[in-house]
Formats: sequence, C-alpha cells, structure tokens
Amino acid sequence: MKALKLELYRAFHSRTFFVSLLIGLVICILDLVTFCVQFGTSGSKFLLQAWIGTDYQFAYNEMFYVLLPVLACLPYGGSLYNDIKSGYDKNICVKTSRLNYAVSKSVAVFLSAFVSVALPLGLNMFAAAGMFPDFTPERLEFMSIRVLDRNLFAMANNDHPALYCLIFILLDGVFAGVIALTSLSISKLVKSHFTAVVTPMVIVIISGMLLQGDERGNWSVMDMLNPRQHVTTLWYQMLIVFLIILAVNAAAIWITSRKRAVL
Amino acid sequence: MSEIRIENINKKIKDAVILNDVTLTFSSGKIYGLKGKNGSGKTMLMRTIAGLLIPDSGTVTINGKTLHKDISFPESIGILIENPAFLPQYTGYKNLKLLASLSDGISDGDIKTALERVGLDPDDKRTYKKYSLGMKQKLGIANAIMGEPDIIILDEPINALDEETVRKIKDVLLDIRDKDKLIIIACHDKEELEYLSDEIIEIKDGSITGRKDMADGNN
Repeated sequence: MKALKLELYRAFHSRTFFVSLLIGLVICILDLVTFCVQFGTSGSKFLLQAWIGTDYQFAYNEMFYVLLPVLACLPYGGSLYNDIKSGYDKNICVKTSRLNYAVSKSVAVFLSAFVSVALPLGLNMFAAAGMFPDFTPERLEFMSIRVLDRNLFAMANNDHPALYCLIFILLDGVFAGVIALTSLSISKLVKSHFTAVVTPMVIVIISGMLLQGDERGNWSVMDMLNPRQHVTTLWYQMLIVFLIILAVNAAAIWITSRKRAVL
Repeated sequence: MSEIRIENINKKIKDAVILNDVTLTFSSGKIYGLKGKNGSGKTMLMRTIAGLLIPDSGTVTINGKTLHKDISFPESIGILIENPAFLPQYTGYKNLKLLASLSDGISDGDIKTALERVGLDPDDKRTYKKYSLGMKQKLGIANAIMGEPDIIILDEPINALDEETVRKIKDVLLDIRDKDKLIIIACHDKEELEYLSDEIIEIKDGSITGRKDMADGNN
C-alpha cells in the first residue's frame, strides 16, 4: 500500500501527466469551439452531434483517437524505464518487493492513463451537454451519428445518448489503461523513454490496419474505441481484445519484474 | 543486533563470473570495508546483500531470515550503491520524504537530521536537478542513513566530497556504528577505508582473498 501511494503520487504529480491532459483538453476544446462557431449554440443541433466522440464533422475526433495511445502512455508509462535508467528503482526495491513495486506501478500507470483519456472526453461531453439537448437523433437526419442496430450499445445510442457517451468514455479510459501497461511491459527491452511511450501507438496503428473490420466484425482496437463505430464491433470481440492486451502485459510485467536484477 | 551470513554465493552474468563461492559473516557494531580493484565484485556483493541481485546459488541470511525465500528485501537497510538517483523535480527533503513513506517509523525530524548530518540544508528550495555533484552524493548518504537502519551499505560514499564533508561523514558513520549498527563500505581511498573500517575484506575476481581485522592487524 505504501508503494502504491508513492507511485500514485508520482504519477499524478508528474509533468508528463499534465502535458498529456493538456493535449487532450486542447483537442476537445478546439472541437467544441469549432462546432459552436460553425453551427452556433442554438437551433436543432444535439449532444451526439457536438460531443467529440461522435462528432465527425471535423478532424478532432480522428486526431484524439489516433493520439489516444500516446495520451495514455505519456503520463507515467515510461516511468519504469526512467527508474531503471537512473537507478531510482534501487531506492524502492530495498524497501519493498519487486512484485509489489511492479503492481503499484502498473496501477498508477493504468489510473493516470484512464484519467488522461477519460477526463478530456468527459469534460467535452459535459460542456456539450450544457449547450446542446440530449435529443435522440433521427435515423436519416443530416449529421446524425446514430449507430446501426447491430453495433455496440445501439439501444443506449437510440434512447439515452448521454449514457452512450458515458459508456464509451469509461471504455476508452479502461482501454487507455491497459494500452499504457504496454509501455511498462517493454521498459526492459527499449533503449529510450520516447520508444517506451510511442511503441504502443505504433502497435495500435499497425494492428489497426491489419485487423480492420467490416460488417462481420472488427478486431482493431483503434476502431473499436471510437464511439462513431464506423465499423461494427461485436461485444465479445471487444472483451477478447481487452483480455488479450491485459493478459500479455500482465504476464510480461510479472516475468520481467519477479527476478529482475536491479543494477 | 544484526547479522548477515553469506554462504557459498555464486553469480554469473553473461558467462562472466561476478561472485565466486563467497562465504562471509557480518555482525552489527562494526564497519566492514570492501577492498578490491574495479570490477572485482565489491558492488555486486553489496547488491546481493541488499537483495537487488539474486545469486545463481548460495544464500544470504539476515537475522536468520533467508533473502528471496523468507524475505524479499532486508527489513532495515539503507543503501548508496554507485550513483545516487533521485527525482529531479523535487528538493532533497521532498525526495527523502517520499522514500521515507515506504518505511515505518521515519519521522520528518529523522529526515531533517539526516540532511543536517551530511551538511545539507533541509529548507533548501533548490530541486535535485540543480544540485552539484557533491550535494547529490550527500543526499545519497542522507538517504542511506535516514532513520538509522540496522544495515547501511555505502559504495564509494566519499566520491566528489570535499575534505570537511569527508571528515563529517566519517564522524557520522562512526557514531552510527557505535549504536550497534552494521555498516559495509567500499572505497578506493585505502587510507580512508583503513581509518573507517573495523575489518577489511579483500575481493579479487569475485572471490574473497583476504580478511583483516584492523584492531589487531591479523589476516
């Protein structure tokens, strides 16, 4: 518990956490401001058209979701690499077990990534909800993002748009957390902090291109995190992808931490 | 009262023998000096005692508890091994406070005392990244002696320190030893090592080649 407290303090007081949060917030603010300038704050526009997660009028949605792995890893994902490189891990590993250190760091990495992704999306949603009503979009309405009935959470999208937004904010935050663990699990293998932080984005983009889905389903994590759902993701695909990322990272962290020589 | 028993420890890294059948015993109330050339195995032995390096064979037992079997790390230890490493964005005091939060019973007063004993000002607002080499070294020593743990391991503690500070550190170490603590140091300066140590242990190519009690000069 003491190691966890220390790691959480370090994660949420790090400069990189604030930088990541700032980047996410700037993208979200620009999206909403551009929407308001373009379409005004009165009239027939509604929440699902204005929220960055479902707004496809501007490039900000794509920008946010392409950068999501970096926004997730930047806050604290590279911290194990830094600790090993500087020798700071020695100070900790004489006061707690390696496994406890690894678990504490993993929790801090997960939570800082969750907040860095979910907070800008959440604030954008609440700001948009303050200006635009929570209407259910008509099926063929211009600028409607109403998802197909076979897509995930279609019922929420149809009946409770704000709930649909909140579900995806939660999912994006949780996926950001496990993606950030990739930075941690490769810390022993990479040669720079930059590589530790950027590698997960490269993996997400390459796997996204290779596994891009169609109407039969989608295995690309890059596509399944975007609430616009331009390809169909089935619930079990999302669950399996999540479990694979989590299991691979947990195994890698456990194997590399358990008997690691702290040099 | 602490006792460290090292029995038949062997360690290889990439086919290079780092520690070769090392057997040693350390008791509290003494300062042990490790003497040997660069790459002789002093630092690796210190890392092994601190639990940072897991030997290929052999055991390290601290107060009857075997490291990596009964305990994952020594229960009361302070270390400075190779370069001091701290968080660059925080002051010396803040760095020690964060690390003290991992241990039981280290008060703010203990942290301030440790800083003052090595000649650092606890109220200094400069962050670690603005510290000079000597100040970084002092902070490393302060971290090791903070709360006066039962075992203190210092690898080249007087590197980059001026004469006055070296004198101060020596007094501090002798004072801590007299409180029945166990101190292990490695130092290139033969005179300083002999002045400080109650026993000198010579290491060559990962093996113990000699042990000299400074009180009677016996090998």
